[in-house]
Amino acid sequence: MAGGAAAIVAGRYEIAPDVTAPQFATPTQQAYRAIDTVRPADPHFALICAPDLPPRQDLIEPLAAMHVDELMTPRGWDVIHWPLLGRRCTVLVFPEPGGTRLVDPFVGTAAPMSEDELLNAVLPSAVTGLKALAGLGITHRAIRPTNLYRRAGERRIVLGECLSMPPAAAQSVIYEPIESALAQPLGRGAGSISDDLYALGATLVFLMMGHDPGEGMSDEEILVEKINRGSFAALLTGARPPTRMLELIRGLLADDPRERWTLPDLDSWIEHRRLNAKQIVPAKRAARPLDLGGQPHMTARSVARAMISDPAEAAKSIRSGDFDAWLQRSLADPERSAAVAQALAEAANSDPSTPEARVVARVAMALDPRAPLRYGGFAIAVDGIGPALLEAYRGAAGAATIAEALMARLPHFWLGVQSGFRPDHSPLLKRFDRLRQLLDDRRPGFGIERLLYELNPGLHCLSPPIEADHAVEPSQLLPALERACAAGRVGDNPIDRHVAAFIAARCRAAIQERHDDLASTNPPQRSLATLQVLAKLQTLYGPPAPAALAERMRGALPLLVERYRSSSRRARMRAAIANLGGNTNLARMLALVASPGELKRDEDEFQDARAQGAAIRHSLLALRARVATRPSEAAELGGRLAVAASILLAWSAALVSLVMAG
Amino acid sequence: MAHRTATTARGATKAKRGGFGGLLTVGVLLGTALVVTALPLCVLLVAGMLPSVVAALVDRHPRRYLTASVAIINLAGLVLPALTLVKLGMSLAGAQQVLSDPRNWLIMFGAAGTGWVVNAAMLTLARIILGIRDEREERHLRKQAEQLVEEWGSEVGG
Repeated sequence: MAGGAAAIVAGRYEIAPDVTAPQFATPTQQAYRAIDTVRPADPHFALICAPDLPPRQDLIEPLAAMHVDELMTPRGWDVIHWPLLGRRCTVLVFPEPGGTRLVDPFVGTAAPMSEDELLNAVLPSAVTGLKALAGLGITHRAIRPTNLYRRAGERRIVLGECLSMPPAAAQSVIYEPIESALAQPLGRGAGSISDDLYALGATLVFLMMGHDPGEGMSDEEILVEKINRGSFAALLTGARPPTRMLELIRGLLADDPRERWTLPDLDSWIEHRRLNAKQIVPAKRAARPLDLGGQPHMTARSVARAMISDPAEAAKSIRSGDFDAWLQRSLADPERSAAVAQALAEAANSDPSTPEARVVARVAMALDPRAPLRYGGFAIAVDGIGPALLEAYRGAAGAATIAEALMARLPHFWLGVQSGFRPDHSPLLKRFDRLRQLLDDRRPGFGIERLLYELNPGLHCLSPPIEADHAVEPSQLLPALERACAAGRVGDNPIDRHVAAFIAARCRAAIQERHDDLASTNPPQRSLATLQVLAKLQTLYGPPAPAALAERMRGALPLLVERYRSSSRRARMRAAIANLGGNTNLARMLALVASPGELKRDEDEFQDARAQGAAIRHSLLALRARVATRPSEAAELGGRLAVAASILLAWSAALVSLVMAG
Repeated sequence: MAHRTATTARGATKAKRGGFGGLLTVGVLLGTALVVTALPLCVLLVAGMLPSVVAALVDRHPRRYLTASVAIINLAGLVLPALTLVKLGMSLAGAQQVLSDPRNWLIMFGAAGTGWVVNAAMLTLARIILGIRDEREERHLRKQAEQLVEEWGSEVGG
């Protein structure tokens, strides 16, 4: 290993900050050589994930368990301290494919590939990789020419990694279907295998041409071209693909996902080199244009886009009736008309103060149901809300707008206007209902913070004192808090809103039924809940000796002792706390001051004591009252004693008399 | 039913009266027999038990403890004069002789006085005992109350 402190990943791979592997770098992550200490001959590289872009954490384990030659799958992952960033971050280790990238991102062009190589090397390899992913219900969402690698000494290629950032976040609009390209990069969502097939089609076009199909055009221009002319025409402008490939590319670049080729279609085409062409239905065009923002618009999608870009102008058009007239008479699409009527009816039924932007968002969804959810400057796929919300939260503002969209049930409306029943919509509806409930709850462990962690499985805890510690899993939280405590970064309460939300999302059992107490303004109640949550975490995940954290919590124990009414119980607990010494077991601390049922026992005993006190008061009063009756009582007792004494004396006297009388 | 109950109550009263009457009858018969058979002893008894009669007159307690105390010891004080009377032949002359001896009067009335003193002393003793008992009980209760307040605070009262 060259100079520089090497970091160990997953206890096996050594990476050094000064040994880079630029051929594997991604647009946002630097790559480094990784040495497998068990099998040093096998070359590996490590990707340092950008801390502000959570990796697709939920896919790491399933992909790590998968070994497919055509797919770059991780061999290890870890959270390590990375000196170049001065913080901890997630690292993914992949085996090197052995060959080079198909297209160097710094060059941006490559020699055009032959039809033979495309159809017999690239396509079968990509299909094999995608089939393996489809088997697990996973989408790749990072298929682009710069993310394809050659294998050493083989024709097969390897689909590059797809884990290090949110789905499709690094994709150019060229490689995304129109609906996905309309969304902001971090809000594209995992999508479906159909999106991967579209990306494969666009990639094949690049490799065939040897350069970017949208070369010299901005993303917006490419998108407008795709919308106006269709992806196939837009991407193949000026290209003369071989006849055999035309059918393939047309099938993969179909803009309507229902018309786009599927994996079985592709398989069939590879085998037989032909496939019955699907009927492509062009977007319905209006008889006359609708003028919005000074531009004429002929299709529903175009009108929806114009409405979103200028909601005020759109609202004016809706109010004036121009839009309705255009919709009914010019577009004459009953399905769109019904959806728009539903959008307007929902807006009318909801709060009258509903902002115009919300009405316009609903109308735009009704006009272009497949487009992402667009509201308040955001354009997000329903399965891409998590990363988009994170981006907005980390930015100056915007998270509130996304939260507002959720509370206004815009995702519900989006799902409602999709044509045909899709089985994946039902769980999504339930999920959005749950997200609304989480958002509506103001207690620690809920709110916007909870949504961040629920929707971004790879997001580390963003609590300011431990943010740089990059706790991704609940087992990493307590060590992070320990380091922060030791460094004096933690304030009075180690469990802030972020920590609470992180625990609630990642390890609900540790915080369940503690939310009210954590929100309490009563310091002992809050301290107890904090100790209970931390103790549970320590029990579940360790570490056994968080000295600084234990010291911090020990400071809160006297406050917890004061909850008890019994002074002897308090004294006993204080003595036990004093005897704790350097013990760092939080569960033991908790048991000292809050063993199960102890508080109830204390309360029950207090109630008994109160009853006893009342009985004593009553007895004392009775005693005082008895003073008045004491003479008669004394007369009774004295009389009896006198009779008894008299009998005794009488017998004695009688005996003496008998003796004297002789 | 009411008639039957009233009849039963009247029967009980009659039985009570009958019992007392029977006792009285027995007493009168015994007294008559004693007067007939041992008149000198009767004279001695009447004279010697005078303090008991006085005690019975002044005793206001429903259970007549003073009367009982005085009468019991008074009766014991009659044993020696009665034995002297028996020795003198159980005659009225003997009774006169016994009653004329001031020592016998001293014995009989002294015994009755002792009964009176015993009664008075026992009353005082009873007052002292009850006072001590109440004081101890109060002290015990107050201590318990203090312990409660010490353990649970002033909320429990005492």
